[in-house]
Amino acid sequence: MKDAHAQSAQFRTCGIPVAVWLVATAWLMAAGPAHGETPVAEDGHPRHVIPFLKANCSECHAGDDPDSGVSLDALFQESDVEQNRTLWQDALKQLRAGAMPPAEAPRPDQQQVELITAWIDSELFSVDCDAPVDPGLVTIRRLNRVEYGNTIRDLLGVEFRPSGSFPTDELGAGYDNNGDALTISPLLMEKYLDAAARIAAEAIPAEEDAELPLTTLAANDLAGGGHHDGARVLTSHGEITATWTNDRPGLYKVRIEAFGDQAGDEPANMQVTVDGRQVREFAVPATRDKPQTIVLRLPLQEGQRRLGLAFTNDYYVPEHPDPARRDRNLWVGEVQVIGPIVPPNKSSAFYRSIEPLLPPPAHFPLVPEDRQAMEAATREILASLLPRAYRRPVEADQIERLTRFLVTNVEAGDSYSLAMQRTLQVVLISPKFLFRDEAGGETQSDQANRPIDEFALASRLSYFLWSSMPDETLHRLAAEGQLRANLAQQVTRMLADEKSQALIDNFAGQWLHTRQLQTMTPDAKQFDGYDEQLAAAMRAETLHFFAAILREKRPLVELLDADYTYLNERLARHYGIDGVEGEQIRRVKLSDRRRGGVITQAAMLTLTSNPTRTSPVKRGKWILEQILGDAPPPAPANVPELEEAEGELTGTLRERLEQHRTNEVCASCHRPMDPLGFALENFDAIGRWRDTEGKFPIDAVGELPDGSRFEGPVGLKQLLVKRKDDFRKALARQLLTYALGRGLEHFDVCAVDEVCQQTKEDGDTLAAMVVAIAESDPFQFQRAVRPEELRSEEQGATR
Amino acid sequence: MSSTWRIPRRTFLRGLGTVVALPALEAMRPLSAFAAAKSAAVTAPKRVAFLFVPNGMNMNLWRPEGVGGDYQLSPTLQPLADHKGYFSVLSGLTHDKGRANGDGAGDHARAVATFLTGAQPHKTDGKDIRVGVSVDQVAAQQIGGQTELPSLEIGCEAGRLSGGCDSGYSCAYSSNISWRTESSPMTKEVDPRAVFDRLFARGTTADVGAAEHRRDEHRQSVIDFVMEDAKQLKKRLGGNDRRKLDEYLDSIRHVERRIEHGIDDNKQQRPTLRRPDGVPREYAAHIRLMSDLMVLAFQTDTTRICTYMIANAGSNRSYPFIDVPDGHHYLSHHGSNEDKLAKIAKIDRFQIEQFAYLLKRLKETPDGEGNLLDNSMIVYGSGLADGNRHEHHNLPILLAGRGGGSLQPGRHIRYDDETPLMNLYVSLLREMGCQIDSLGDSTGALGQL
Repeated sequence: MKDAHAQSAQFRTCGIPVAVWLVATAWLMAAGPAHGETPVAEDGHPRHVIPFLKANCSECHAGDDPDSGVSLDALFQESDVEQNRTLWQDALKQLRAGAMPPAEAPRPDQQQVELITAWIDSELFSVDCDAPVDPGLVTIRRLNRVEYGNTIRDLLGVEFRPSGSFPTDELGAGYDNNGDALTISPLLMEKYLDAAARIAAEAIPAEEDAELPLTTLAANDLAGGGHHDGARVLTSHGEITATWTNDRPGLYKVRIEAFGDQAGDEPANMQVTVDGRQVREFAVPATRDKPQTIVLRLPLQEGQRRLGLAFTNDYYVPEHPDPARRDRNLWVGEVQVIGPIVPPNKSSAFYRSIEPLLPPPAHFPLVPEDRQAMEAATREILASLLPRAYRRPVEADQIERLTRFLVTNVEAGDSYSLAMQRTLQVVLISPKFLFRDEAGGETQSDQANRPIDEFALASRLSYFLWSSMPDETLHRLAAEGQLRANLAQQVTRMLADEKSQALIDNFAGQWLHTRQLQTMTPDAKQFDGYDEQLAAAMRAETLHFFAAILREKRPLVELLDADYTYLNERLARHYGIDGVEGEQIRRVKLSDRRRGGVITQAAMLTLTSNPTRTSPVKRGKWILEQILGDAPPPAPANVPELEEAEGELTGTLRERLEQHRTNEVCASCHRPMDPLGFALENFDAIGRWRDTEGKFPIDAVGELPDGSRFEGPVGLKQLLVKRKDDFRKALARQLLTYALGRGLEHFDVCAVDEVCQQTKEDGDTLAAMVVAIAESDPFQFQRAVRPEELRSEEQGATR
Repeated sequence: MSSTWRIPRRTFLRGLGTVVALPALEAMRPLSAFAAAKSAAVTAPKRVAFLFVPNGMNMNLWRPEGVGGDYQLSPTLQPLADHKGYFSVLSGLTHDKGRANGDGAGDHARAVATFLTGAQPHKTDGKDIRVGVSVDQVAAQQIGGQTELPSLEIGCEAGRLSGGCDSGYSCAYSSNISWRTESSPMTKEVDPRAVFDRLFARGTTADVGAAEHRRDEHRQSVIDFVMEDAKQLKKRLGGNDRRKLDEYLDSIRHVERRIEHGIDDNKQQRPTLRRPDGVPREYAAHIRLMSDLMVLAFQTDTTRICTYMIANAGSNRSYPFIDVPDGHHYLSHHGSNEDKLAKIAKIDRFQIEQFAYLLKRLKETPDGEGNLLDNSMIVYGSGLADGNRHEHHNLPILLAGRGGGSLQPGRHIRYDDETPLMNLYVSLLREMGCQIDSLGDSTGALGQL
């Protein structure tokens, strides 16, 4: 059942009592400055803005139950605009669009509105670009799925595709490389551990693994001594024996669980023999509550073998003052025989690089010479691996800690390869690998802004252009402090490298939304031509097109309109273009300019449609947001999006939409949005050309609020090309967002303007824009962490 | 006695220095006979699950006639006829925090973000994502330690791959219902094969002996090492960066805890399900397979707490196989169009059919003295009522299972308007044995259950 709340009328006109309004306006007119001056007093105080808002908005947007849930109460307080930035921005958008106050309410004087909006705009967005500008703060970014896979490839030469197993990376500001939105969940951590184990095993062939044949001899399978408590015990000199049969000769691993009842002044001693031949002698200092495991690596023949475990230092002094130290005995639990150990014959680029450094096969247990050789080799391997894996120099103690880790594993019975595998696992789940640590040692600074160090810069560049770690050249230049000095040249080199395909797949795939294409499900009845092959060709068209403009240094305006595109036979037929044969995507010259440019590509036209029909609103919104950088404000709460609110209306979709746009509230936002989509109505929901919608002919004329008219895709593209400056700026904002891994803030306007300026001067190409972004302040600098911020959180850090 | 050799695994690891990778000791594994005897003696635990469906419902065909025990099932709820004695329809419950409350558009994102948290999500596209701890995670934090996995998060739709989700709300809000802190979602798993592997892979490998134990021991040593790295790194970082390192540390501790919990050789049944091949092409098969996995996780007592998103908030998935080729979200703004309303009802009913399958599977599975459904409390519903108007009150909510005798299902219960949905969760948490005064915008516990 519906209660009163639900009925709170969606389109309720909230009439402002005329008297109130008149008074307020009169006050504003009287007290306000003359026309043409700013309505704001010299002291910067919004003396006139608050009365204006109160007069025009508070009837509906104040108090406990404000319309659409939007209350401006917070703005009525005299406070720093910064505190309510979002609300001020919304108010600004609504006022500017003329959407508020609603048409039914008395209209404030348009000049007053302009003065007021000018003030809000200047308070909100003015940044003095000549003063030091905040470069922003990028939250530490973990590698996303793509970056993880690429980094593993470049670090180790191992192919690993996390997209099949890691959870989807959350998007922030439209991209999956946003530091704020990327989180680590317990599920992802489990995946990291699994991946690290699998990758390490792939990178370093180890002689042994879990799948080796295993023979377990429990206490009752052994002979000799007494049998108690699930173990065997020698209470005087004697021997426990294990007997088993090997199928094949080879290297075997033997594990023995043991402990002693300790007495006298030395630990229990165990002598190990194989087929009567002594191989080693061990002290067994372990006790009942913490047994120890002894591991031997032994070359053994096939056939029946006999392992002897002799107790050689019996001690029994019943008169010892400490009753617990009177009787020494040796206990043996279980014996395991694992093998034969077969070296696998696979190798990675990483393995080939460390192979010459590997220490000679060690004795077991380690003798001092073995240990020294092993430690030296390990240090050398880690000294080369760690700075690459962590993408910055490492301190000596990190190498030492890991070296100790490796050697301890060898001491516990692992081969060197297996211990190195495990060490690599540690590296791969270290936060220093998983996160891009841009701080190096230095986060604090007395300066507000600090240039990021050259290693961080190398990482920013390589993850921006390659979605992967820096290569040797970048790393070397950073180490020499020469990267900044050679930035443009390095960007050019990196773009020429095939790894820059990552920029195309990941930036363009998200900016233009082609990644989402795989989830689209056009109605099979209406669009029986649509299948995965066609979708793949659509995606390929867009990405090839973007790649050509980037790589061939073509003018970026060609993204909007061009006389060529990329097709295979399937997609060409979809477009009604003859003469393209085969599955191969290739460049095709277009004589008909209704196609050409991203807006008329099938991928975009499909992505902005519903499964059963086109959506001029979605198409218009997409163009506004992604191409012109002019996002409409979201529809007010509880007001269904325009096209979705349709009731029983008739005519073409366009006519139905236009009927709705008679509503002023809707119209203010939809007037600049829908006409862009109407111009594309000749393209159906999967991007095929059509002349009619059902029985109605398509009307593809669009008219914007400023009166500019255009018809069909050709007319729309001409209009957009005229707004080239807006497009360049929109693209710069998108690319900068992607490059930084953070959403843009108002102060970034300086950087965006500079990037646009530089791009224009340098040929107006996408490649020039990439260089300009790499050279921009937000890319080069980071807001410094204030020392007190570190201190104040110190307590929180100790957990 | 053999107990001499029964060594607590953790003690053993510590004794030899945590960086040592140890070989397996058979002694550390409880004997299966012993374990079986132990588990038989324990009364069956209670399980709790929360299932979310997006975009609201066609409420006209959802809401049943009459209240109390002899109410009439609505057309949408007909597929549940066989289970009528096993679930109740709860009407009148509200999520006030799903409403705009000054935040403007974005009802879909809010409806899901608030579904299990009862908190108003902070409107952001990335920076300062914040909502509240969800009911399942409160349970996981308080009683999740009793099982190998504190909780399980599953779904049938991966997060978006590009673009935005809803009116300036981060996609993190739209694709998660489970939040372990107010800023960290519990990522869900959508591939049945991956869920299976996570739950059971170690139990099905050929070599049940040393390999499994060693894997965990290796992991433990690796974990100890990187914890130190994380702490070092964290010291140098400020603000948001620290929060990210905290997420890392929390997640590492989760893995550590799972290892410490040890391998459940006393998982009473080995999985009766074949290892899935991946995501089934058919949506119904996907939903059912995920339901099977939830049942298995409960049956084997691998976890007692589960959240399950049938689809993400605002999902525009089409349902051509039931003759609904249109997008779900698009339809939900029906504008009272009869054709659209009929199609929404078809989707609602399709989803209820899948829910009926889950209930049937739970009912068929013996547990303790009765069956799994007897010992479960399963919430099913949407954060929106009518999708057209984005209603956040009088939500469509079902509560199935007997909760080990604590619930009396089989009724349509009509609560006062504006009763917080969170009150239901407070009641369920208490039934699970959690200490809880309030959660989100709850005003108390919910009576009459």
